[in-house]
Amino acid sequence: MASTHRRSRLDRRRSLWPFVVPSALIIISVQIYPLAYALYLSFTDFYLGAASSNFIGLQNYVSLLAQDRVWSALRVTLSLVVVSILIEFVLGLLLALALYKLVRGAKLFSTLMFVPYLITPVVAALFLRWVFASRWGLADALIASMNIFPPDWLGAPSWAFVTLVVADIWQFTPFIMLILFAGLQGINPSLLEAGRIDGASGARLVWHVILPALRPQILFVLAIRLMDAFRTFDSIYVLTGGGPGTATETMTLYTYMLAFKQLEVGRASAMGVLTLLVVTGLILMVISVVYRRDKGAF
Amino acid sequence: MVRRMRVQVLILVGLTLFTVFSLTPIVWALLISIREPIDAFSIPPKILVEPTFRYHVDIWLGRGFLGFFLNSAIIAAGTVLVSVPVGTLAAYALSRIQTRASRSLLMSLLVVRMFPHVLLVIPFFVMARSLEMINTYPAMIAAMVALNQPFTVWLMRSFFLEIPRELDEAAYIDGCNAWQAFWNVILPLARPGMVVTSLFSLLLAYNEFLFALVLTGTDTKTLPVAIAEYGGEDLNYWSLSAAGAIGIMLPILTFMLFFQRHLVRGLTIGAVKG
Amino acid sequence: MAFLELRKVAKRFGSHEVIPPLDLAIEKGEFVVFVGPSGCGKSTLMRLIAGLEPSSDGEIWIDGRDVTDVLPKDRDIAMVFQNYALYPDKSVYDNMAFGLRMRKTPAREVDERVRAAARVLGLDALLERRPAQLSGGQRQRVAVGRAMVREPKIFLFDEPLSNLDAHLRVHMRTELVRLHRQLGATMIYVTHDQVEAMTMGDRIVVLDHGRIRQAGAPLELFRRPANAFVAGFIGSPAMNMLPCVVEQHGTELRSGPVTIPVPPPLRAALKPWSGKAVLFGLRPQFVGLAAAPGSGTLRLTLDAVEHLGTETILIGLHEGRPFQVVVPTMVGISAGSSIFATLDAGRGHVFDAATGDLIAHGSDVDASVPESIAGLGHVS
Repeated sequence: MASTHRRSRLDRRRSLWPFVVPSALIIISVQIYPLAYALYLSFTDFYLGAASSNFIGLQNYVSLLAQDRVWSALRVTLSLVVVSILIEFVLGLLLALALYKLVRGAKLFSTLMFVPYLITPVVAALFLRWVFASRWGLADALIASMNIFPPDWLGAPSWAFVTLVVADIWQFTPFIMLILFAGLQGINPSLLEAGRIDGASGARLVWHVILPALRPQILFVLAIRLMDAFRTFDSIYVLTGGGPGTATETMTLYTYMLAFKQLEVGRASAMGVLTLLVVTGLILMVISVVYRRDKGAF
Repeated sequence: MVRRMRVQVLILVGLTLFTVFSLTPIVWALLISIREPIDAFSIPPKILVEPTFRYHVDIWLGRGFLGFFLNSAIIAAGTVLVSVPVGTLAAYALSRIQTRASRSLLMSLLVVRMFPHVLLVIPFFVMARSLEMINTYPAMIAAMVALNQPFTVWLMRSFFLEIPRELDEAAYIDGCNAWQAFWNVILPLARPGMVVTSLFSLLLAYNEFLFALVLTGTDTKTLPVAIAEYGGEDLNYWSLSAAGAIGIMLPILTFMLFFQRHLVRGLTIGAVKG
Repeated sequence: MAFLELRKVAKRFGSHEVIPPLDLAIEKGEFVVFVGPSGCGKSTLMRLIAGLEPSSDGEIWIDGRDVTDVLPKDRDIAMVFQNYALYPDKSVYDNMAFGLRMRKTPAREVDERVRAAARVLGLDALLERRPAQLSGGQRQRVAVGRAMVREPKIFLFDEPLSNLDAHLRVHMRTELVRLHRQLGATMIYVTHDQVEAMTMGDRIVVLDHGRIRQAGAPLELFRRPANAFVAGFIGSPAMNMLPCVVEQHGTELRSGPVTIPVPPPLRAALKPWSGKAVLFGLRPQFVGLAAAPGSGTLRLTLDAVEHLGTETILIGLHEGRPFQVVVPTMVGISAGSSIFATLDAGRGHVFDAATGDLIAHGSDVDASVPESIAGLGHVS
């Protein structure tokens, strides 16, 4: 293709590509290079504090895949991601529709509901911790005042899971709501009119007209939430620390523990690479859907 | 008419419920922060108590949070100063070049954004340690720029795409080379976009926890790391750390008020949280 | 050597050839209009001349200098864009001064030139305003002023009037023509509107699919179109095209049931085409009306009647294709009625039906009868 063009000073590309160089250098030195280095580390027995490290091939991967803890982390991660996102999506969609239908006050409501999403994640997790803390937390206080014995929100394995899901919902539903609400506002009102004239109303209108029109936004929020939910760290670290035991330990959290608590940097890198592989698989799935359905949705 | 009224009322009730759900933890923390532990945790909860601000004063002045805030501010500002100018340049070029190469570059930036941070933080730590840069600002800033750069490029590009190409061309004909056209004509028009991008980048660096946990130390500790340490089980510290948490949140609320208009665009491109 | 010369200039985007190799020479002081339907390559051609787009082949010479690989800023050209492309954050004054400042013109000279141009264009009172505070017509003037102050070798106009309303467009048309006369500058003007082309250009270049289909003075194109494309594009309402077969050794054209006698001067040219398909083109102005059918008259059922005030356009169907007749204002005729149209075949043109190339012009195409009166004699 390029051969049909002669090289010319007039070719704008030639004068513009240099603009990209600084950014490319930064990306290469602080993203690509560290990742390559991590990949290299994953093939070594690098241990923080040890004088030297050896190349050990796939040994880290082999021993990780043999650990129950790794498989449990994968299970926790996937169920946390799937359960949270499903609930968030349904809630977010309902809220977006409600805002859209609301005659006045949508801006006030959306602003107030949006606060949890923008707060520093650690702070947000602390806020929830003060709600779910045993005995003195708000949830326990309210339940106890009704003379019911409250559950151990953070100490019992299944309740800890529920608490993490609630935390995720609390923080991320607003994001889905806002993007879908923006999408709704972009729908041509005549489309809805046409739907109404065709006799669709309520749920049918949502299903047959609104959801198809929102497809780019829906795929977008799902893709973004998938990626981000996979690497959730802050709230789990603050709320349960992966506990009780390893009941709520995700892949991200286990990678962190391996590297910075057990100092097994080599093995932690391998765990990180495994996480990357799982995420990449999921993302490729999402991208292929996005690109098949709607070219250039991003 | 009556039906419509009923629908509105139903919607209002639903939205109010969720708003209460959204705000309760924040209000609860606020209440904790302005009360003595004794009052805060009486059962049933007391609502009306004389507020005290001594924990707010104590955490910022007595417990060094002002210093942590300064660390957060330096790191966030450093991130913006490096990431935004560099990203702006690239974004301009990528908004004007539309070839397969530039499109695949943009897509690869998107892929880079998807990397699990926990995988990136390991080599960062190892490298920073061997360079003796743990507990320094540059190490943390470099990490934040790394996380931030793809977002900056995408967001700035979306602003540049709104500036018609004919303006570049008019500048070329008026006697500019590529740099002069960018500097004299296009950049002044992209200034609002740069402000928005800077603020989003600021927020991202300000909120970061994982990298700060690993890369900062006593001299460079940021607010999220400090507050996480204060989350303690000890009931006596609750009021203190709640005061800290509320304080950390305040700049973000200010940010929201300023940027409501650009929120959706920033989120669609960056989905700030990372 | 001409002032602007394109030698075998071509443009490809990837494997798609937008402009096949093309030659064009423009003289100093000419007002040349590039006209053609959208996508014909006229804007691309202008962008090649401006240097905004590199050519894929060939050479571009301006005033004796090869500028093929010279940046736009060093070509000494100025351009007025369709959307004006005024710098929105700069005042009118700074918009006009920008190009001069970039060229390090002394501040006093910048000021003189900007004020002089503003005077000519009636912008004196607006110099401190921002583009957003101007009307469409005023913006248009600033865009022209920005080009003027530079005193460039060539002015390029890329559909500059298409964003204005009809009234203002006509006004700016005459103003630009006057400006051209005043400055004596070389101007190239791109438009898709053949009326603009006819009224403004010293010379018109008709483009289609990147090829020059014909270049010449407006009336020359109108009277002697080189092919069916130009014939159909220039002139309003468009020239009627009757698909015909040449019969009787070039003495007759048959179109469906109608046989049109070929005027003697044309017969020699048509003789080799005997038995072949041709297009017979005749402008609606050269069609008359008859009271009764005769030899070579078309019977038309009127589809629509457009009263323009000064004249009336009758639109009928012949062999399933529209056929138009322009007559002086005539009331009392309405859609649905039948008319008989007589053809002034001497003013017609014959084209090859397959390629659209010209076979012959009628003998009377240059007759200096005002077109609007030409059909009068036939009205019954």
